[in-house]
Amino acid sequence: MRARMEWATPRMPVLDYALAQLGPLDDVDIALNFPLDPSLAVLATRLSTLGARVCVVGAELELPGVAMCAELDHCPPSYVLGAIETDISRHLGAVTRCAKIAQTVPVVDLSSSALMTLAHDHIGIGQASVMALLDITNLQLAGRSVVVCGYGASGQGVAAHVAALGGRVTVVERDPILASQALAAGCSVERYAQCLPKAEVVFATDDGPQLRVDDVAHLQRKTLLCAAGASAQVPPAIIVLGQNVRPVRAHVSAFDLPGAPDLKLIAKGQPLHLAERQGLPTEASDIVLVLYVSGLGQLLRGGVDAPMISGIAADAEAALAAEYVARNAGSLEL
Amino acid sequence: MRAAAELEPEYIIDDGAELTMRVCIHRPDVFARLSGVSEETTTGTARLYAVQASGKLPFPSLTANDARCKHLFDNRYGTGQTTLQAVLRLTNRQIAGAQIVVVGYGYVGRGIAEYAAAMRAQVRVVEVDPVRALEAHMDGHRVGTAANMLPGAQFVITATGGMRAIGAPEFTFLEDGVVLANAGHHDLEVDVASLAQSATGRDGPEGITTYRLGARDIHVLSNGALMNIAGGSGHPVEIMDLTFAVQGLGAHHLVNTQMQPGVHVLPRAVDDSIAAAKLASMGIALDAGRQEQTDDQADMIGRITI
Repeated sequence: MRARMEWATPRMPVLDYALAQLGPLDDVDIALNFPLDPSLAVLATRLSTLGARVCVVGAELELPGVAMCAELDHCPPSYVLGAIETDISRHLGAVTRCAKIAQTVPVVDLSSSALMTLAHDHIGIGQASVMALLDITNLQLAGRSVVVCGYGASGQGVAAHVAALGGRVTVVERDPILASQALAAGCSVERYAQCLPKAEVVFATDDGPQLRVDDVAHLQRKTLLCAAGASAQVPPAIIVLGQNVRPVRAHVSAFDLPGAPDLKLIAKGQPLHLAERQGLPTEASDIVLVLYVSGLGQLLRGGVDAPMISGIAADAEAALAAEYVARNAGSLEL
Repeated sequence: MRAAAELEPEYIIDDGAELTMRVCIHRPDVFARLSGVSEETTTGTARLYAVQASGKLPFPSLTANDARCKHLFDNRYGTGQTTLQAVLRLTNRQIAGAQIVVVGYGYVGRGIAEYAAAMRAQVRVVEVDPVRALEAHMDGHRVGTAANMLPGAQFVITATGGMRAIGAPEFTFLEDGVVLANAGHHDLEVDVASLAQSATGRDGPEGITTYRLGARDIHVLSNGALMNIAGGSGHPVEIMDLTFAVQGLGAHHLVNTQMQPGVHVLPRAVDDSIAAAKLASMGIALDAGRQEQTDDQADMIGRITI
């Protein structure tokens, strides 16, 4: 992890910019409740360097100046930052699960940030999930029939990367606007009953119509089931509950359903980008983490008067995007 | 390799003509008696043609690489996909928006460029063959000299099948932080030895060695070895299904056909039969061409009197 942190650090230039805007963090308690990957470890260390008392939840790694604890309840946060959620009710749900934190703490909801959607979902989840599937299975997507459940942000990212690698994408959606976007992007749009009988790979995502038990009856044998997104509560993990699961190779197991033997479950149905703890591509993480840093600044400036729920300030988001453009040899028109 | 030569094979199924060349050097008697070689790669094919040109190829050899069921799929889709996979796995970098230089626009280079561009990288191509360079241009990539294409590149991937595609003259054009990877047969396409002479390497995360060249860090993946093998898990199985079919039927053809010494290409009918079998395995049926669909000018040409 340490070598990977050193590798990631110079590739997160926008984080430098955002931390410089933040200033010192003396006596600020910050709990980071994410799966620990090298980029997050860099953030934890950098926040600690600025004077914050940083606690990473659920990780087992020694980082200088950073505490680790098993549960969020064991951390001493003063504020809670929003998680990456598409739905603010889920977002508050995560907060309320922690008994120690009152429901009334201010929350910055990053889920409606366009920059977050771009970096985290379109690019990050899309690339990381699809490449992880190839790494795990040693298969091709070229010519394969791939079903993407939902054409929300992560579904769009997955669909784009699958198509880039030659897969034929069919999207399942209820939302007619999203379905229209999928058609315009060259995907087919069908119901589960139509597309599952010919599907070779099924990607569950955070959004859209999820696979139900009735739908699963349409699966064909040997279909690969996997999940892309931030949530671990996705259908492949749920479908397999109670089934007799056989190990096949690293991160691949098999199980049978009536009429659909030898289904392959990838990464236990958990989000693919977490299978080997690699996380999102570093440049995508850079943007994701600076949005958290920016949200942290917003909460600190607001103090106890911060609104209960707020989005990231538009001017702050625009400044971060401008920095990203400049760091990538882009120039904005004056 | 030497032990394999000592087995005194009659036929060799080879990769890079490595064993064939070793047999030639260490056991010229066995080389002279060889009944045939089936060769997998672009590099090995070039070697066999070079031996033939020198008049020293005493046996028939089939270049599996030149079968369409090999290079159209293995080189382009197999190496193209898995090279990018390995580069991204080792570096954990984002490909969208990345500046990627592909050196060499044969089938491997094309595959890398095609997939990288599809995943929204900005692709530049360095190529010495003007026709291939023009093709790269019309495929939507920037094309030019190493001096023009390398500055600003974040990734440079070699796919020439030759040697020293990125060597001392090219190092001067590389920018700080560039990642060098090789997709060609040789582990000499990136001249790591030359780099190591000018700079001290230090190991980073798995598969990444960093050379400090003046004020620049140059990162080399898998020590310049074939990226998708050394830094990944090799070709997708569907691709090897085709490639091994070519090699297997090539060996069968070598054993069962009277052939003159020299380099031969797998007969088109065998090549077609492999593709047909692959399509059939996927349940894909094709139309048969009908007589009336064939151009009828041949008859007319036959009636021309001059």
